Amino acid sequence: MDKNLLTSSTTMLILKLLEEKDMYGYQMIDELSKKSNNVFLLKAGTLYPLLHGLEQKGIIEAYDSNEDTARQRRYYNITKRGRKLLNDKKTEWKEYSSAVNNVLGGVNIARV
Amino acid sequence: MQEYSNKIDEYINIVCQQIRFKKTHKYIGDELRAHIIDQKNDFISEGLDDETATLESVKQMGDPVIVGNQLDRTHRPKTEWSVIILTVIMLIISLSVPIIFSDDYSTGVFQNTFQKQLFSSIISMIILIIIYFVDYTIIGKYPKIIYFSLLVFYLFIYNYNNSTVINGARISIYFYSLLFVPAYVGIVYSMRDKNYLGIFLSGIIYLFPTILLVNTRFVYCIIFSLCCLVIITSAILKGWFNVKKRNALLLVYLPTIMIIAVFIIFIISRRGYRLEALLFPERDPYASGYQAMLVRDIVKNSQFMGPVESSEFFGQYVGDIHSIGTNIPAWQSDFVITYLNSKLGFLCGIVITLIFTTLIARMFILSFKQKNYLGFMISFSGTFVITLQGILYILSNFGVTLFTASILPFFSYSGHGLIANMCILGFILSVFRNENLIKRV
Repeated sequence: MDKNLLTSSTTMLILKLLEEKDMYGYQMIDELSKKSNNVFLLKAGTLYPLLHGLEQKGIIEAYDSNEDTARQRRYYNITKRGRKLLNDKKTEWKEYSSAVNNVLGGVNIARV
Repeated sequence: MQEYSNKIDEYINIVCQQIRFKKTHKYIGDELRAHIIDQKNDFISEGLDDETATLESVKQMGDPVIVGNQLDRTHRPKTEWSVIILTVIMLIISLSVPIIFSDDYSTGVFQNTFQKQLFSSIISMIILIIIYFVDYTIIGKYPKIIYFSLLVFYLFIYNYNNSTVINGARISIYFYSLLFVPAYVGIVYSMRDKNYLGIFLSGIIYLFPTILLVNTRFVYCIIFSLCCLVIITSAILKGWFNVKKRNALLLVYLPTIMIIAVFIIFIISRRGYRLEALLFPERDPYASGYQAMLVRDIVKNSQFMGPVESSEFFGQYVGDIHSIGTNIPAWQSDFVITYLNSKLGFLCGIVITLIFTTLIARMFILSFKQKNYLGFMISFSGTFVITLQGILYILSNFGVTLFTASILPFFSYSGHGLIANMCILGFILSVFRNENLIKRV
C-alpha cells in the first residue's frame, strides 16, 4: 500500500477507535486488526510516533491509569479538536473513495 | 522470568539512544516496555514459552534504530524564537539610545551608559543561557533550597546595602527580589499535597521577603505580593491543593483583603502624602509632585512626530529637555521614553510600547498552552512580573500616573534590573523549550 495514503488514513482510523472509548497503544493495534479482519496490522514503531505527534498537536490527550488492569498503562483520549479532525478526514475519505470508485467504474456504491 | 527482561531493556535502550532529548526517555521507555510486555503475555497465552515470547515480542516492535529515529523527530525541544527576537530588538534599541543621543548621556553617572549596559547585556545573556539549559524543572526539584538560599542571599545584600543612603544604589540590588517570584512558584508547588495546611504555609512563607521589601522598596513589595496572589490563586484553581476551591480561595482572600485594608488605612494616615505624590502629583506641584508635573509638561508639549519645540512650565519658558533634564534626576534611566517622545515624537514611545506589548502577549499566549502545570505557573507568573514592571514605567513615562522609579524590562539602564529580568526570561524560555516534552508533573 502507498505509504502516504496509509499514514493519513491511519490517523483517521486511530481517531475512530478513540471516538468510542479511551485506549492504550497495544489495545489500539489489537482492535484495529480485529475490525479490519487483519488487513491493518499496525506496528508499534509506527503507532507510537504517530500518537505522540497527535498528542503534541492537541488532537489527543494522554494519561496514565491502571483502572482496567493491574498494570499502569498510558491511555489516550480524543479531544474536541480531535473529533473535528476525524469528521474532516471522514468527509475527505468519502469523497476520495467515491471518486476512485467512479473512475474504476462498476458497482455504484451508495453515497452515505 | 527475569533473565529475558534484559532483552527488553536492551531494545528500549537502543531506541532511546536515538532520541536526543534525554528528558523524554523515561516517558517513552515506560510506554514501550508496557507494550512489549503485553505482546509477550499474549504470546505466552498462545502457548509460547517465556524465552520465545520475549524474543518474538521484541522482534515485532521493529528495528529499534528506525523506531528511535521516528520518536526523536516527534520529540524535539522547541526554541521560542519570537520571544528571543523581540527581546533582542528591545536590547538593541536600548543600547542605541545612549549612542544616538550621546550628548545627553555624557554627564555624571550616565557617562558610560552604553558600555555598562552592553556589559550587563552580555553577562545577563550568559546567565540566561545557563538557566535555559539547566531548566526550570530545577525549581520543582529543589524548591525549598532555592527559596531559602535566595532569602539568605537577599538578607546578606540587604544588610550590606542598608548602610548606603544613595537611593540609586539601594534600588538596584532590590531587582533581585523579582527572583522570589519563580522561587515562590516552587514553594507552592512543593506544598501541593498538603491541602489547607499547604495553603496556610504558603502564606506564611510569602511573608519573609515581603517584610524585607515593605520598608525599603515598597513598589517591589506590591509587585511581589500581586504575583504571589496570582500564583496561589492559579494553583488553587488548577486543583493543586486537592481541596474545595471556594474554601481555599476564601482562606487566601479574606486575610488578604483584611491586610490590604489595614495597610491602606496605615499608609493614608501616616504616609498619605507619598501616595498622593505617586497618584495625584498635581496636588502638590511645587514640592513632591514637581518631577511628575515636569514629566506631564513634557508629555503635553510632545508631538506625534518630531521634537518638542518649546516647553512652558507654570507659564515660564523652560527651554528644551536639557534644562528640564537637570530638574529630573536620573531621567536618563527613569524617563527614557518621555525623553524619546520629546526628541522624536510619540511615535517612538508608541513603537517601543508596542514591541514590549507584543513580547508579553506572546509569552502569555504560550504560557497558557503549557500542559505541564509547573511550567505554566513559572511562565505565567514570570510574564506577569515582567508586565507589571513595564506597566509602571509606561504609565509614568506617558505622564499618566504612578510616578515611581521603575524599569522597562530589557530596555531600561539598570544592570541589575536587566540581569534579574533576564533570569526570569531564562526560566520562561526553558518552559517553552520543553513544551512538547515533559508531561504533566
